[in-house]
Amino acid sequence: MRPTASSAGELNARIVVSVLTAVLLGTGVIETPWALSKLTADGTRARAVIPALRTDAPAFQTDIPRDYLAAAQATIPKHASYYVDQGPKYVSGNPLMAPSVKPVTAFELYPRRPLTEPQPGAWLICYGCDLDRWNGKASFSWEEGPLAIGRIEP
Amino acid sequence: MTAGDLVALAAAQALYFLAGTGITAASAALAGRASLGSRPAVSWLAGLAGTTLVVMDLAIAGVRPTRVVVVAVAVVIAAAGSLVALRRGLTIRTARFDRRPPLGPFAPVGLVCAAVTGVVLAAMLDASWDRGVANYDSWTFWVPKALILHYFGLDAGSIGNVLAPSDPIFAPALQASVFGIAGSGDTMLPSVLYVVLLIAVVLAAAALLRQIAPAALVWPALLLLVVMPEVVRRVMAPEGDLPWQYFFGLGTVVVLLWAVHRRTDLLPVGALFLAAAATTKREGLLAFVVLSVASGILVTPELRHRWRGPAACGIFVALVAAPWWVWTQMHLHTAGSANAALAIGALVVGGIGWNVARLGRWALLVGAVAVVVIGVPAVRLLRSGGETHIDQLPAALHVAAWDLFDPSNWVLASFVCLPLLAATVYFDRHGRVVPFVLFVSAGLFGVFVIRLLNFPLAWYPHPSLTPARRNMASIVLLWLFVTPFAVARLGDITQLVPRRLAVLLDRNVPFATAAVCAPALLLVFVASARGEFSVAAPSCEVPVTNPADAAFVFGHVPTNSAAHALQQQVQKVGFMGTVIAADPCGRFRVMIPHVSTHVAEQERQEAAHVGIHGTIEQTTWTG
Repeated sequence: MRPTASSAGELNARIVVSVLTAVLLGTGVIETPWALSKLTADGTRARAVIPALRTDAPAFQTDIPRDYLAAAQATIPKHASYYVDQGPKYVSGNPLMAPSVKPVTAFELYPRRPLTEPQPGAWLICYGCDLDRWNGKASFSWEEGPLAIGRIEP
Repeated sequence: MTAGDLVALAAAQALYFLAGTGITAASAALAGRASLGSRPAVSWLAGLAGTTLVVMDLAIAGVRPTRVVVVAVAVVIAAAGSLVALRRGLTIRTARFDRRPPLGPFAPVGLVCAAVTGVVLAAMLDASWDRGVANYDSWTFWVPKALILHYFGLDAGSIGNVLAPSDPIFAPALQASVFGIAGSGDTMLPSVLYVVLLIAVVLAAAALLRQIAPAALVWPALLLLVVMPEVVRRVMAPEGDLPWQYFFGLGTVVVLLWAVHRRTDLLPVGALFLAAAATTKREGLLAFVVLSVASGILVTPELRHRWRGPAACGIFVALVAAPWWVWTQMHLHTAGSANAALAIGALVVGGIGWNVARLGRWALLVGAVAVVVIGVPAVRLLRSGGETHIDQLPAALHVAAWDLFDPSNWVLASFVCLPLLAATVYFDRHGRVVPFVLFVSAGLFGVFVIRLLNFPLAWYPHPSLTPARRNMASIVLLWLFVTPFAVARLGDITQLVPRRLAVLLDRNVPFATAAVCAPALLLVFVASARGEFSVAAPSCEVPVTNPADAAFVFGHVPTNSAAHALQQQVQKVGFMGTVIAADPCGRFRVMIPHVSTHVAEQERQEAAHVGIHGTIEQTTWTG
């Protein structure tokens, strides 16, 4: 459809459309330096993180100790299964920590498979749990305060 | 990211292009066209959507997306598409992509915007490099789902453990496909993959829109798309929100191209885009239903005779989406019934609704029935997470409207696109395009406001943290994709420009482009090299959020030993009680913790006397 500018109304509409299109163009151009600045800053910040720690962003945000995650990665073999027993003995001022322990641990430990229930022979992560509860049922190979990693007896 | 990951990412895109070429060839041949009928970028994105949809449904059937599976799926799609095309008369000689349409008036404007869009996309690619997964939703369920698919296949026990188990798995399947080709679950990959997806989307949008709109209309809209704050903030987050909105916007453009320009050959591509939207997030399925209702109600008498294509499209989307709700119903028992009912609604409205449109004046009545048919499951879905708070309606409307127009999200995109669309209604009074788009927009707005009623709005410390902003992005993106289409329907708006200037521009397009584009690009590169666009230094400081628990930080250093050295240095000049803690960049900071900002300021002044220039930050232990 090719309209003709026969009426004043059509001409006005065309002027409005032209002006708005120009505004659309101007907005994009004006916003470009901000976008480039933000992206450059994001990239600079991402690269400032030590390479070995770049996958640990969730741990940073939630105050979950990276030592514990590193110990779990070193202790539990890849493709093994593990169960996280979370208790109240490890506290943090960060309200995100408690609900994030299992997701962050799972995220960092794939391809190790998280279990919803403890199983004989599976690995066990005690995150502030009551260690006495596991007396005779599990043996721990790494402990640091209320954090421990071990194996449930077969 | 390793070189292997990079090769895998590139190989995946090549496979998608291969599969997409098969899809577009078959579509063109079935529609009776002599050529492939589209541009390479459309094939790329169609192949990405088609391959991922098959990989996703295979995963639901129990096939893990390994390298062999992904390659086989892409090759089979390409081969099947080529076979169909060849049997329908498309020959190797004629199987070529459409020629690029003329650039149109004001080509330099379009080309400059295209060049700047390219610079922004390159900056996104650069920023996504070596970037961990930092967004909450990304590391709690989107990326874990992809890792589960990659390592274990669709394991109900593992999927049931993530935060949002019943959200569909198109996006995780896309990530898992690249993991599969790379042979590793490197969590650095998804951020780069999502920028590559945006590049494919921008090129496909340009290819589709340029068939009916000049470059000077298309590229300003796409430039605005890539520089909008909400897109810049979220583009690298491997989540589902932006992907379903990209696919929904482009799917709608294809539906319009079919309706207005009789591009039947693109309808299968549109079906793939809409299926990708419907299987990326539940909101995508809702949006597809809204689109189907709008199509059924606003169908023109002329289109009633061409109902078979859209009916097949609707049935295809519902069939592709169905396996996931069957699986969630069988294995997760969460929200499955609502999803199932919604998919049935989509099937009824999307598939049969078009057929019903043949009833002419009865279409409105049937449309109303269809709204009820999908309304009941929709309300069930919306209520599935808790109670619906009707008393929140004014607050929900306020939050949604605010988020739809907030310049800090979209700059002026909403303020410009909506009047532009309204102006085209005034000008093109008999057109159905803009009423259709506004109907879809209103439907999306309504659905998402209802969805907000399910959220305890008062609980959110700031309205920007509600899902409203992420949902409203679907409307703004739709407007940006459709605006060039709608405005182009008005004809040549450049008649307002003095004729002499128009002729001059028209005759000297290459020269004018070079004259404008080259200095602009040079300016950007020089400014970038001078650091105009970068921050002076990476900010690893933790801003003070609680003045009563601040810290005076003597410095940020890269290693533990350097931190101990700095600690000894400050102890020698009398600062006791210092500790070493991590900062957000994974470095170490030496600080005096748990002091008020007032005390920290005193420490700062004392340190300055001995030549140590520290900062006042928040006390945190792991950044």
